[in-house]
Amino acid sequence: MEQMIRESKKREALGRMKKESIRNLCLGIVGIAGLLLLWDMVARFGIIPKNLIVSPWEVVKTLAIKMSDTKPEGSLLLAHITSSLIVALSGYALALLIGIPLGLLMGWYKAIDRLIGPVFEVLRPVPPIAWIPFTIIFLGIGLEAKAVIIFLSAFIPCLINSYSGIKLTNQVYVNVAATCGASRWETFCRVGIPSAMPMVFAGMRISLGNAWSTLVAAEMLAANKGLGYMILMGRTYGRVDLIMSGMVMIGILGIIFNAVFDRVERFVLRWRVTR
Amino acid sequence: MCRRGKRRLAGGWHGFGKACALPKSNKRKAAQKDGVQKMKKKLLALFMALVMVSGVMAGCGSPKEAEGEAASAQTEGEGQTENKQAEDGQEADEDEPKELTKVTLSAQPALHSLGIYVALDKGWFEEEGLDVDVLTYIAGAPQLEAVASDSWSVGVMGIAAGVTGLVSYDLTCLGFSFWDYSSQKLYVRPDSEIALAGQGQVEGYEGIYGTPELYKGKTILCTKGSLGHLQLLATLDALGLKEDDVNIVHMEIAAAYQAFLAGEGDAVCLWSTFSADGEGEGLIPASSCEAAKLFVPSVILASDKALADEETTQKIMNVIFRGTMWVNENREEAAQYYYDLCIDEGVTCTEEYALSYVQESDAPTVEEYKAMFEGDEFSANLEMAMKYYIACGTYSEADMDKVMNGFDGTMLMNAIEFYEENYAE
Amino acid sequence: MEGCKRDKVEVNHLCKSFGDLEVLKDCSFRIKDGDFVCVVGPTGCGKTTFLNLLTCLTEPTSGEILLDGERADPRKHNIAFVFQEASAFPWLTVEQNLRFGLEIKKKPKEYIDEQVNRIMKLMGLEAYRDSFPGELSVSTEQKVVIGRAFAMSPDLLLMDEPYGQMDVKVRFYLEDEVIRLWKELGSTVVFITHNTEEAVYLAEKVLVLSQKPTGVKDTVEVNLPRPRDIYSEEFIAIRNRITDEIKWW
Repeated sequence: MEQMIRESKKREALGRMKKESIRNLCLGIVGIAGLLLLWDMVARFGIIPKNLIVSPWEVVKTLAIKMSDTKPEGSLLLAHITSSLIVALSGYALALLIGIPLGLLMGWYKAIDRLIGPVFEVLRPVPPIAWIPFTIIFLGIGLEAKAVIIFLSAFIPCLINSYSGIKLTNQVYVNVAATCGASRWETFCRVGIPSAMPMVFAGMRISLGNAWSTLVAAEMLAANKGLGYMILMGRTYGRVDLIMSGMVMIGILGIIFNAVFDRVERFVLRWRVTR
Repeated sequence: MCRRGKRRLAGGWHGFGKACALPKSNKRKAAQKDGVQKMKKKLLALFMALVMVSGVMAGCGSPKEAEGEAASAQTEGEGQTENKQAEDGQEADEDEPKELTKVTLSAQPALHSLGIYVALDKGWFEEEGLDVDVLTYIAGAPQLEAVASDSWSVGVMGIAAGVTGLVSYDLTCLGFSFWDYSSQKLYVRPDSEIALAGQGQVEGYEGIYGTPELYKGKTILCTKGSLGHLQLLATLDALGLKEDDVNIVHMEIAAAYQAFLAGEGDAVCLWSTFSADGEGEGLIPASSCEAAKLFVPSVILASDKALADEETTQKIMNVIFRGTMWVNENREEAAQYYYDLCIDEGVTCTEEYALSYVQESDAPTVEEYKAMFEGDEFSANLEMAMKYYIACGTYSEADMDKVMNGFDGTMLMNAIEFYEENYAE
Repeated sequence: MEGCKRDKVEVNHLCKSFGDLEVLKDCSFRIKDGDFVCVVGPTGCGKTTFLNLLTCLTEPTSGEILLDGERADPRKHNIAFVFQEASAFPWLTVEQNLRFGLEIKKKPKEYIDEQVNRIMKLMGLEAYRDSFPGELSVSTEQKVVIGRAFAMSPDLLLMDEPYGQMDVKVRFYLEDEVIRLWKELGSTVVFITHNTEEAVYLAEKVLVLSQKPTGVKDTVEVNLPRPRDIYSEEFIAIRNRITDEIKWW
């Protein structure tokens, strides 16, 4: 009986979710269409001077041209995208690999928190760009240096959210593990970490945004390819279409990554179901 | 970026103060009746606003008070007459209001713009009836972005940014100030194969070190879009190489210099203090503007709006030329101006460097200007810069037409005539 | 026969203070192997503290707790605890929840598979094997928790008012469930409740705790046949006796 009620509730919920996602999709499309229209009006009627803005169609045209033309900054669009992806994802991956475990350990073991916490608090307010001179000296001007700039901006939300997430572990679950005879380390692995996962994912999502938005700053360090580089060259040569194309491309890639991230999160946290 | 120029206080602040005191009878009435009270508050607000506006307008129209401020900054004797006028009081202001045309110029903390700052300080703009504000930019890109929002009408910058101004911002080149190529060099380490190969192996360009083969595949740190980059393109052209034959890494000059000293890259494009510093570190100038025979000046650009008001723009050109000539003829005092300018703008500079910097380049003499104009050499400079940019794909042939048609030296010639008639010794 | 049953739990002069607050004072009693003991007492008398001491989640101020003659240690002994709050791990499926305790104890995989399947069958949880607790009703979730506890074949099963949040119907059902499992698996159960009816329904022996500083006021034997009739005279008599003992007014 309970099974039948459960299944019927599930069907109802799925139906509701489908309707909602269609509605949300429509709202999203209307929102984007509205923005494009507004943008086109502003460019077309010269509300913003034409040297500072181009219409959405110009952007589409420029992106299409850049698929096969290396001028004026010397690379194809795909090469820029690939280069930026490598830089951003390297920095992001580093942020996840260091930020999440460090945050979890700091949140669980007081000794580690007391050791690393003060150092972290001192370094946290320093903007990533301020690190550029140091990264040049110690890491040069290649992928490592740029990835580190991205890492510095992306690892903070990872660490903080992992830390908070594990600190919020329900004591009841810890007690269950303790009464089963689990050691502190086993409880950390089997209770603390899974319990912190929703907050960890929230941190990862923010980090992804940070990594993307730091891309232009990282490529300012030194570049001959990349979407940030394309934007900088657009600025240097007064090519607003290049600047806006770079921005739009970064935005599109950001949307794609967010969508992929959503999928992954929904799978890993599939246990987060409401009654 | 910072705004230099005169700050005007509204002359009507005193009147505004008086208007603030309410007549007592009005106060009593306001306290008594609600509806009437609200109406009177509105009227009072309107009255106070009108007083403020008229006070501001009065302040705008009193040049003598403003001149008195500028007089304290002047170093020449001309200032004393104006000081006396200011001391005579504001009664004189109110009798003869002199209308100054407000203009905004743009410049950089560099030798090519120094004439503007000198003229501003000496009050030469006001002599021509101009009330000038100067926006200072460290680089050409933000300077050009500002003109797109009508922030300035006439500006001085390097030819690399100048070409971008002509192609992408529809500006017009009115002429040139100083030659701009002296400190633009391509540096390599003393133990590099290029340095060790020595000079004289490139036909026609004996000042360039090494052979074309030695440059292939090298990593060069360079600020793209700058004159340093143009110098590099000229060097590659002299070597018979293309941009793709080397690996150019775009970096801001300070970071590029630091990275190069830290061992990154095989060569670096430097200028001004960085060149001086680099040579102090033992770096070898493998090429330069001179070695690559790229003799380019800085440019004076004007917006369409400026060209619509020919009279005002001509006056601006007259003063800029006068200032440029003064700098050309008074290098030691000009060095002090440059040093003070750098301090104000937060640019690293020492007094020794300022002195050597202002002496490293010249402005063309009046005769040289005339000769260049008659021989159509002005456009030739722009053409030379564009040639390199087209070769590496930055601009197209269509852009070349735009640049060639974007030059009009008439106002510069008029300014030269004006200078000869009034100020030349 | 009870006389032959050995002491599973020995509590000797147990005292617990939190700073100046004396919670437990000189508690001493014995629980035989396989007993079902209910612990009742006035609200706030320290029942939960008592259980926490039994599971070594807290250290006693003085006195000792012996399990099978040794100092109680969750790593050595098989102790299971069912909390008041829902404590099924939300990120594990029902099956994974049931396996949890056994995996911590590092039992062999085959044994875990067998034990978990047995419990799921016993409790009718097979249909929910791959469900997450968030998808289940509160009572089913509590069944999972009880199942997890019993799956460990605990030497000692401690339950701290596990049905406190539930309605009457669900409570009756789960009471029968726990009795069934207890009989089937032969565990020793200590069941805390403030509901005297529940205590008399479930227990063979009821420990009545006093007000703070808490000690064992009385031990009431309940020798009624199962299933117990809550309306029978003997049931009501025992219930009233216990109620009288614990009322503080």
